[in-house]
Amino acid sequence: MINADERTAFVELIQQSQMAVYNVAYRLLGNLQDAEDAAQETFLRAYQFRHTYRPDQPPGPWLKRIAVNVCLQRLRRNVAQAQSLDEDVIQPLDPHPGPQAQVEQHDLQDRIRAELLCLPPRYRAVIELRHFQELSYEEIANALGRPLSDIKSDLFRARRLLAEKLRDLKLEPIP
Amino acid sequence: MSTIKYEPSNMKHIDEALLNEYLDGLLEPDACRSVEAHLDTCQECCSRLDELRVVFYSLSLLEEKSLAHDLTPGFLDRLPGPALSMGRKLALAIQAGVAMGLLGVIGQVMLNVVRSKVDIRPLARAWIDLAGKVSFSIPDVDIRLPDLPDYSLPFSAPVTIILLMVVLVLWGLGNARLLHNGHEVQR
Repeated sequence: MINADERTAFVELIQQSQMAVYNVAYRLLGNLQDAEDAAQETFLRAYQFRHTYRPDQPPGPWLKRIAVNVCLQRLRRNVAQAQSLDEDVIQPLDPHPGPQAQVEQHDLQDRIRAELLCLPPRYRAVIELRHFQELSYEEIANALGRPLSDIKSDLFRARRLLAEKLRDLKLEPIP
Repeated sequence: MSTIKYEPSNMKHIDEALLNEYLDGLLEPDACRSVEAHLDTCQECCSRLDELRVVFYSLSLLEEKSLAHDLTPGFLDRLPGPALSMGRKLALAIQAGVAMGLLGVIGQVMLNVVRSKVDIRPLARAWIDLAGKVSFSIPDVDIRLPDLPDYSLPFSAPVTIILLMVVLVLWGLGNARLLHNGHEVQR
């Protein structure tokens, strides 16, 4: 039974972490509405499994890991959805982008997001957990419940695929 | 962590896993130095490393999207109902018991009334005769209610009234308890 204190604490948690959770979902799903739905589902799932939360750990990473799994389940449920792009936000990659578009930061971000969304869902998940949530390989394996060797393999392949896709952007790497 | 599987001098290229772990900063200092020594001499591995660095850089460019609205009200709407407390379960059990008792009493009374006061046979006969005249004829059959078992209450009328009063009091207590619990949940 939810009591007043628990309810207040959970509402505060949502308010603190909703943007981060929403962004995890958006990076994985590529659609604003789907991301919002997934974020809601994440909070419901977190509430359902609140006994798995360890109070000595910050709740943010716990919630984001749940969000990744929620998104992966959604992508598995609807493979077609995995390929969908929110046309209002992310335009499909233009094979011949104009020079003006290349220099605009917004367009550049959209292009990177679009390429990220072209990756298979499990590659997206490891990219999300490694690059945005900064988990170690072992932590990613735990979060996704998969062998460490699979995680490494997926992560390295995902990066290489992205590298090939981003080659035409001619970005300068950080030294 | 991976170990170096090559010597810089033999010009074998750095494998993909090692290159990734180097970029992730997971190599031991010795392994790191070996990779860097190879990179100093191998243009191809340098290019592969640069491509991966572009990936790291590209991902770092992605900014956070802002939320159009607060997700809290939606969460609260979809929050499952509260679990039943022991008190609430007890109140519901009382309610259910009362309902069953009332049904039993009312059912018994109705049964007795039907058995003793109401004879539906003439009415049923009239309807069947009418139906037979309109569309088809039916043989003359004897219509009667089945014999019902005797469920008469083993109590006298005053005891029955007292029992009904007890049932009503319990029903009232159950409702009061439910209302009280409801206020607790809302608070």
